[in-house]
Amino acid sequence: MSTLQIGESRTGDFAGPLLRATGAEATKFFGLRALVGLYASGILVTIALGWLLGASAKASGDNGFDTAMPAPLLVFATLQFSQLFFAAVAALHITNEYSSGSIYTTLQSVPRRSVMLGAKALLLAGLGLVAGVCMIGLGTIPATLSAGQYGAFALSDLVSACLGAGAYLALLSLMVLGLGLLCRNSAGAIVSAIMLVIGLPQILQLIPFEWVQTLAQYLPTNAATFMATGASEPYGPPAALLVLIGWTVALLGAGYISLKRRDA
Amino acid sequence: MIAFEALSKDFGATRAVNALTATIEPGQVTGFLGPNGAGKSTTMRMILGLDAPSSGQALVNSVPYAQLRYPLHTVGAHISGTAGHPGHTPRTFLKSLAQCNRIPASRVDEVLAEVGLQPVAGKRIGGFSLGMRQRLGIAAALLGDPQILILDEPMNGLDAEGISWIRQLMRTRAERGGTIFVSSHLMSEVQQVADQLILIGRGALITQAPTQELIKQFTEPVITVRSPQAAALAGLLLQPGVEVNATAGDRLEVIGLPLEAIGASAFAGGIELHELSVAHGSLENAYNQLTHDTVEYSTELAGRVGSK
Repeated sequence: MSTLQIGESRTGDFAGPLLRATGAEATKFFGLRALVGLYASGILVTIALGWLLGASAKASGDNGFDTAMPAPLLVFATLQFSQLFFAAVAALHITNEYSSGSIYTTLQSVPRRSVMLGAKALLLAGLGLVAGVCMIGLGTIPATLSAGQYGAFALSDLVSACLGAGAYLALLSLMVLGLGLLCRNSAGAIVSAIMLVIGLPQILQLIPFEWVQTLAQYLPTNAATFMATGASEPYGPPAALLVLIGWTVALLGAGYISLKRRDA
Repeated sequence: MIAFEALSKDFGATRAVNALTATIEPGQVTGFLGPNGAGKSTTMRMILGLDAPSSGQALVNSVPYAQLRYPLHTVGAHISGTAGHPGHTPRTFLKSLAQCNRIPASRVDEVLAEVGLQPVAGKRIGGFSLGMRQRLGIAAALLGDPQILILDEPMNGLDAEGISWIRQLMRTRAERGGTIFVSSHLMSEVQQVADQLILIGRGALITQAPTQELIKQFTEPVITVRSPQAAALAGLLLQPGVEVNATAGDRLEVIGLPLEAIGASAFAGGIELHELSVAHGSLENAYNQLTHDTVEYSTELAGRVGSK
């Protein structure tokens, strides 16, 4: 009786299986029209809203209000809404598998939980990064056209908005992946993602203690704004990136523990 | 080879699998039988590393499944009702599996042809019938051409042609040295194809034995006698160790006596016979006898049939 067959190994390397599993995740993602549609809509909506915000800035500026803002940052500001598309993509990419039972097949083909999660994380982070860079890069053109002189910007504005949006969407996708692993159902994952990026900032605003307001500045959406705008108060882009990474480690880590401990 | 070593699984206070120890050898089809809720699917999920055992372990080729780097080359499994996402096409689903297990993409079309799904390879799985999904799940199990096949209730939803196809497939693979482990809650589904049977009830092993041996061991022949003097004949036949049931006015069913002895008694007593025939018990009966004490969800009728 042979005990060692093709593909059988006690420990084996990590990178090879991870890259192959990431390829498989990409195949699954691009094979679902609904998810690809959601993803593309997120980019298009950001670009359209950027144009609208530019037009609004111009109209207000012409009326004497000081609404000038670098065009790339106008586009970035619309992420406040359009981030929900990418949160939904990340949530559904994992919860779809639980609702359809295909998580069984996924874990049969990639039994190591760390490799399986790593593959999903790589894919979603990659998609988030590409979306962020594309939406700012492309969206800056219509926003510049509609905002006119009120959207004037330097190259550094464009670069920091691109990187900021890319990094934010990549990390947001990972946070939501963690939420998806904790909830295992689409509604729960999406609602908790909305609470995180929209609900929580608004709720905290209603609480009149100063320390709550300070705390609120460390929510992911606020950190993202400080990162992309290159703010120096209350903290600058490097600290903002760290704050976002902290959220990601916490949520994705909790998701990983849940994946590892609970039965599939 | 698959081995269970004192495998147990608790869900809260419920013990779903209880100290199961058994070995599933290559070169044969092993049927895994038990009533609904007996712990069959849970056991299969533990083999695949989907559920973690509460204690004990399940091993494939002497290692835990999670240690297989590209497991689809070693173990192909189909857990009922879990083939892909409804929005995917069979080709996308199988391609993703091939990709992460270093299986050549050409295998996708090969297995689709093998299970007869090539005409719908580009259609969405969501529109498939239960039978088509079963075929797709089996295609996924065959993708890496594994030596071990684990099939959970593979005949659910298949038509007669599909059932004979899957039986043939299991036989062929077993004859080529494969380890085939197939679960069912219906004895009749696996009786014809399984060389070996593992019976469980309430998560515990009832028996593991070759199918033919089980049939012999657990099924006694039932002899039917028809006679206008049935009551008188019953009186002659009754003795310790013999069971006589009057099933109709002129009909008796006798267990525990050979055909010849009944004929001789009737002849000696001058009793006229209209029928004297023997029916060998089916494995179905043996299974019902073995499991009727362990059925998790039982109805009055099922209980009566089971104890018959």
